Amino acid sequence: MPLRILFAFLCGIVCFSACDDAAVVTPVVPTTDLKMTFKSTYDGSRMIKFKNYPYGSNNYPLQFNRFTLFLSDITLLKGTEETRLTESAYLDFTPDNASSDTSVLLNYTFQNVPEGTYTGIKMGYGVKPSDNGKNPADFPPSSPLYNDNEYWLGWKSYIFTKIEAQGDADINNQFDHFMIYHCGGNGVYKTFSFTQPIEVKSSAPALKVDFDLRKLFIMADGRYYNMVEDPATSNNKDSLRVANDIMSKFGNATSIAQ
Amino acid sequence: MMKYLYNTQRIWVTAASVMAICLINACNGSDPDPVVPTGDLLNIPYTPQSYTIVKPAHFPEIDVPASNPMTVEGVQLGRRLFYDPMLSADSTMSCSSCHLPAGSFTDNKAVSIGVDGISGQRSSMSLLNVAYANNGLFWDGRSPNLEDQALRPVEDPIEMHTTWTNVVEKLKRHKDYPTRFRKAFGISDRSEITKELAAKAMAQFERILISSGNSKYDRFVFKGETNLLDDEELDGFIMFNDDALNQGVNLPDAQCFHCHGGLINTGNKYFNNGLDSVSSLDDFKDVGRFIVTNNASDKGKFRAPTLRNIAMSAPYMHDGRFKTLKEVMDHYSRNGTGAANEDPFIRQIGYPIQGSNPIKYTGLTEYQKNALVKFLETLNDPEFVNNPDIQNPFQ
Ligand code: HEC
Ligand code: HEC
Repeated sequence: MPLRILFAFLCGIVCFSACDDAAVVTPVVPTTDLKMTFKSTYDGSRMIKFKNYPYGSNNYPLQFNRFTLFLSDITLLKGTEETRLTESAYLDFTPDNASSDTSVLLNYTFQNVPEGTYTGIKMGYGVKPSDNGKNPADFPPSSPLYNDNEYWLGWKSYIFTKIEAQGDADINNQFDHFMIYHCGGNGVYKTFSFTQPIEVKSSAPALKVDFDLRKLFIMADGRYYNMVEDPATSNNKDSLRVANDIMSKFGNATSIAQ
Repeated sequence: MMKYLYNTQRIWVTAASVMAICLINACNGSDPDPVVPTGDLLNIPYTPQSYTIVKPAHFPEIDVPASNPMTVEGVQLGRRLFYDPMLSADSTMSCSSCHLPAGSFTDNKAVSIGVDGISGQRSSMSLLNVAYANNGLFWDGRSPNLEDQALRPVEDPIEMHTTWTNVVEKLKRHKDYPTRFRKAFGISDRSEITKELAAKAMAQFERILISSGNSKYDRFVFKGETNLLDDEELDGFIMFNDDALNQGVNLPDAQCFHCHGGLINTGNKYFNNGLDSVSSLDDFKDVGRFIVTNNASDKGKFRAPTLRNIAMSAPYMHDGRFKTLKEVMDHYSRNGTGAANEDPFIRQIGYPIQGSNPIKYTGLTEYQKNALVKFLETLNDPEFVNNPDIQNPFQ
């Protein structure tokens, strides 16, 4: 990975020189790299798989074991002006090759971003409908949407997010209550915007995006989502309702800082 | 912006291959081979033809590494090497001894037996659609790609148990292979044959082991033949995909697609699917994925393999413990053993039992298990196993 970043950086230099040549005719806005770091947390600290986290009004222990999320059209905002950084990203915080249970930090470098101070950022949570109408056979191997593991043929949809956890809801040392929230389908695609000054210049620090899993499960009235009653999105006739509830809370669960 | 990212990626791959070429050159420069290269192959034309992998339109594109482009000559060479017993200690065993077309490129044994008659611990794996296995090869994923994987069986003591030095010597002295290496890779002299080139050729051959796309399943799901499945197969299909509510029928969820899903039924991810009852994660006989990640919670996890042609590749699981698909269904119907890292879906097969807390599941009835087996048989692809392009070229 670091080698790759270094290489992307070298490519950047090559491209910049190329751009300089072309810039003779039209003056170009200077551009630079924007780094973004995505993190998965629980109540502010980095999520660790199989670690006990307090859940529910009686603080029973809950352990996560999977968290993935697709984002679409990650876009910087400057007033009404929009600068799209990427059409799609697949965030796997618990990848198969992780050497520990700590959820991984996912670093992205977006190249050629016009320098300046932006006023905010907008992200689609899930796979936007125009892409979700396609499937992995429609994308090249380099695309996040090539990922066949995250495509649900039955729904004709990508699985926007997978959140899996096990809880000891009756506090008897048995983690036998499961939360399996796999959400997908155009109906539950959400877009959220965040107001936050974002500096794009070569010396600027990375933009940090945190997803706090706890906030994903706090309802409007402050209570926790009842995972005992709604353990899954797939085998429950209310599955759409549950998926919609979860996806709707991603706005609240996301914090942006630089 | 995205387009630009793709381009960067391509540049990266190209540069990597340029670097690889430089490295190969560097190696050649210091080649200790005492035989003075005479350029004995230079009079043979080197005009490789690029090979287009035939795949069903509804299958994803195949990710061919830029460092090993597909050529007709490369695939032909790889096919010969794959079927050639010259690659083993006593010239009795080839890759195809454990990966036979009739078994969808398995050996239909519980665990494979090497050239010395010693049994391994693991069951041979189907090579059907192995070009799509992009999350590590082997049951535990310890090999990153086909080029790396093809280097391993030759020297494995419980497989072909020889050395590459021996094999490469035999290839250099062979009456036919040097010409084929020239045609595939443009070497100018037989002394330039290496194990890496042999592995590249075998990898090229393995990348053409792709489904025909004409199984009953493909025709039903992707080709609009919506009346093709009988009631039992259709019930199996619905349970496999947890689709009963959608279809308005009364059938339980079998949860299979969560791990064996996607367009091509190749999961490629690692799970504990509830095979072993262990009191602690340290008690797994075969630690599986742990070998690669060294992460305790990966003990006893294995890669979910393709279910295409599964009826042809008995026995089942990494150690071949189940003889029939019916036994596999009996296993899944038990809802696991409760090991700490067991995947939660394994415990949720069947109907939820009303009033149970935590919710328990019924498992599957005999009819439902049979229907799942019948459905799995719709994944049979005889056209693939009979494809003349992938058979033993020496017969
Ligand atoms: C003695 C039997 C035997 C021989 C000979 C053999 N294999 Fe295998 N092969 C196996 C077994 C067993 C596995 C699974 C091993 C494991 O997971 O540890 C395997 C796994 C593989 C895989 C991984 C497939 C996947 O989906 O991950 C590939 C590819 C493969 N073999 C190719 C070859 C090639 C190429 C050769 C010849 C150079 C070869 N094999 C020779 C028994 C054999
Ligand atoms: C939690 C993920 C998961 C679920 C759910 C699941 N499987 Fe599997 N399956 C696996 C894994 C992992 C393996 C390989 C395990 C091993 O060999 O140790 C496997 C192996 C198999 C095999 C044997 C493959 C071979 O080549 O030997 C069959 C057949 C199979 N599963 C069918 C099914 C069916 C049918 C269902 C639904 C009833 C199902 N699976 C549900 C993960 C899963």
